[in-house]
Amino acid sequence: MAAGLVLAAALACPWSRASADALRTRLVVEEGSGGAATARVVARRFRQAVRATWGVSLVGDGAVADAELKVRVVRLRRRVRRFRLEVVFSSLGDASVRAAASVVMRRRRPSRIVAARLLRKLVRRFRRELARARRRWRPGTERGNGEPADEAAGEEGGAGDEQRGEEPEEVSEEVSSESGAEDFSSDWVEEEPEFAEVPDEEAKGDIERAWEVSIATEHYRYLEDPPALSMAVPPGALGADEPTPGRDSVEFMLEARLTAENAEGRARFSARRDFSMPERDRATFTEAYGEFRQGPVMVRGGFLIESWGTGTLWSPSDILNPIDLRDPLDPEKLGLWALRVGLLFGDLSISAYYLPVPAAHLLPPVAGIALDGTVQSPSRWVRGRLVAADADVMPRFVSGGAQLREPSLENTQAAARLAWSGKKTDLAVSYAYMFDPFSTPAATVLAAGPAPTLRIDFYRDRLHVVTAEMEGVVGRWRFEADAAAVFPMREKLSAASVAMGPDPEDPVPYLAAVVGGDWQSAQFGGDHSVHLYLDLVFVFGLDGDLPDDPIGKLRFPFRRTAMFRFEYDAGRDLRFGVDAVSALDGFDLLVRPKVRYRIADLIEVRAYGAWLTGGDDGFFGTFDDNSRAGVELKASY
Amino acid sequence: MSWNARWKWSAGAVAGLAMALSLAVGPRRVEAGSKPDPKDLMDRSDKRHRIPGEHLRARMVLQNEGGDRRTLQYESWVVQDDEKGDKMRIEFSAPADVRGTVLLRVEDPDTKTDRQWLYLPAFHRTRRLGEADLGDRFVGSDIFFEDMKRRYVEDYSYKLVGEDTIDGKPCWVIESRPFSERVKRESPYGKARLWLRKDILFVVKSYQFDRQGRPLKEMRVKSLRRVAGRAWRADRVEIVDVQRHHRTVVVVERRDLPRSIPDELFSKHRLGSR
Repeated sequence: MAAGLVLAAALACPWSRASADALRTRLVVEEGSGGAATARVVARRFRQAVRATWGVSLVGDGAVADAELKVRVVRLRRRVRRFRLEVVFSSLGDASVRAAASVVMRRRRPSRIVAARLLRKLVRRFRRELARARRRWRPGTERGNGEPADEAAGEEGGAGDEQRGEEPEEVSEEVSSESGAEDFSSDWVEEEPEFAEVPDEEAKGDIERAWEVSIATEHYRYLEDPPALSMAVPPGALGADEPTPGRDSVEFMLEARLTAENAEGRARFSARRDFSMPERDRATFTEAYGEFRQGPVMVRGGFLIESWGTGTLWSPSDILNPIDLRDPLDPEKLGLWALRVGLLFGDLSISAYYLPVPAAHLLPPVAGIALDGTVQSPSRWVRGRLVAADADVMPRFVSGGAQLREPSLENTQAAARLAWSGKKTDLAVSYAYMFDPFSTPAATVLAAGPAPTLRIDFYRDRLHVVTAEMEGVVGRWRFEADAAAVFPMREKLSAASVAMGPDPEDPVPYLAAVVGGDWQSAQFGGDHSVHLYLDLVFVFGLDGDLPDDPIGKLRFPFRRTAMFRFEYDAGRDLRFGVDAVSALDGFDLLVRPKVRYRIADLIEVRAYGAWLTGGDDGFFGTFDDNSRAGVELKASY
Repeated sequence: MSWNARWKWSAGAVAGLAMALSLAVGPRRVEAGSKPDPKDLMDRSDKRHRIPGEHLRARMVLQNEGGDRRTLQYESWVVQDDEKGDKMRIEFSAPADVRGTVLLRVEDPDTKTDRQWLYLPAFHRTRRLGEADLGDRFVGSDIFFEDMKRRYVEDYSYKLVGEDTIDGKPCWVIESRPFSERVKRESPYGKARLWLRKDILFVVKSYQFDRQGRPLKEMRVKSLRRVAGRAWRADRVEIVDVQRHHRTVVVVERRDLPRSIPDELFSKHRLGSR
């Protein structure tokens, strides 16, 4: 584990009594060796309430001064929070400047509720005292013996009927004259539980709120150092001598939504700063679109995220949007410019897509190719060499062309989808005519002999993709099947590039399929439950073997693989889970444990790990030094 | 990815809580001294309070005895159709971890089973849900899936056990027990005691017992009002689970009765938009 990362958690929970709801959690994460960010969370959940303290500290090294920003939120009481903001500038010559501000904020409570509660308390107290006084002065009654019998009578009667336009009562006579004589509570509980009041007034308000603000900070560290770089590369020559130590990011997200009767607009904006991977910094709209609906017709246009497929853990049919794959364990779907027209005929849906802008996946950056053929990169997810280490001859590499796909009529993409939902089964088939979001490298031998020369080209092939999906339920079981057949069509590169040598081999069409399902237990112990998922993944070439180069590995990380997920919901705030991915034809394994705890409705903390192991020819085995542990804190309003 | 288990149960649940718990009856005079047939009362109650279409904005407060509280806000659309089956769509707007989540439940009137889908905005994906156990809780509340399904009157047997007064209004007290084999097999309840108001034939209070006959839940409704024709609704429903000492309060903030609700709203293919 990287120095300075401390993770401690202590749980004590009497699961046997769900109603006790007693849980104490203490979680502290620190990064203390001059790192870039510190997050600290201390949460204790008692029988009655949550006491939580959390804070974030960000450290930046600037040219003029080092700055540290600390934010700490302390929950003092149920409706009271103390916010402390502190800014420290140091290395300003010999001086340092520190500024801090604290503010205690109290959530507003309508004064009339407070007044009503106070009044009720007073009335109750008065009645109690009155009853005691009566007993005290009543002949033959012992003083102070027991509570008054009429206490709180009619307390619940506040919410009466609003019988507007009351119709005449239909029932003219009671059935028997024993009204009120029966005891319908003889087999009921002797003592009913008591709860704090839920006033109606609190309900008024922001259900129509159409915006959301979230702040998230994520911090993880790789548990091992990466392998040493090729000695053929001078330190710093390719910018590859400082591999990322992990992630230290802070992200601000804003979502706004405007809804009318037949139209809707939605936008999501994200501003992110990653102190460990500056290339992940962004300030952009992740989604922004407008939608119009009229009966069965729906038109949506803008910067969209669309999801196809039924696979839970991986879906080969989900092909439209580009993905940020710079961290393959944490892929992030990106928006795509698109116009979608949908028609609905009962349970049948037909959609057509126009995709004017070809989009590409974001891949881990490659700094270059060393003289010994080793691929150099600041990313820990780029490994390999273009030539075997024990090769007799070392070829010379020449950079060829790269296909850039700009928006144009010639580069237009389109897709269509037919989906149907039946009684027990949902089916969908789709077709897409699009560009490959991956760049495929291809090597061409320009000169053979004792000093060979290879040209490396990067292609963005046209693709014909056909997908088919199914999901169905039988009792508590849910089954899914999802497949995509991809047929690439290679276009020639520029004339100049082609003139340098013959075309390389055509790319291989392939089929990717997922079959699996999931099962959820009945609830037990109140609202505890277990959810299990299993998916089997098969990917194979339809006309030849799949490529095994670094991009090929990234494109097809799962070839014959089992994916498993276990989730245990321990009450409404705590969830434990484990994901496992294992190759079926060799030893290649990924295990990802995770814990999520909701401190309050607005704050959620997540701790997780990833352990990779396997042989050198497997995907996870290749990156077995990329095991990591991390924590994420997210607050949303 | 977190396909949250707590969402699995009862798509329609909360939306129609006030409706689902209101088994009510149409008017018929009861002659003096005669004893009404409780099944007939329940049948008329059911028919009287069904509404073709309803749109709600409400919140659900989950509360334990210690004071810990979680509030869910949602909007729902409900269609009650004897021929095509009931439909229900619920869209949650708060808190943040469930915002935008949509649940859709469509009933098949022939088999009395439901089809359910869940839209998860974080993944932009609609997912079909397996059948829930009728004793499963909806979003961690005290509402069972059983409470949210349409209760067919013929699936239960009834017994008139007496009379009582609730909030000054005379009520019949009726005991119901599962009757059909399916409900006997699946229902988490062994019996229920219902307080049916005589004037409007609306269930204003109930005690529910588990299959072993132990007290399980108490339900009370408040803020009753007539919403259309002879149909009534409660704008506040309180359910107390006396076994786990937990309470759920459903408060309706706004209720509309649109002349028609478009079918598209209840399509699985439109869960990502409204």
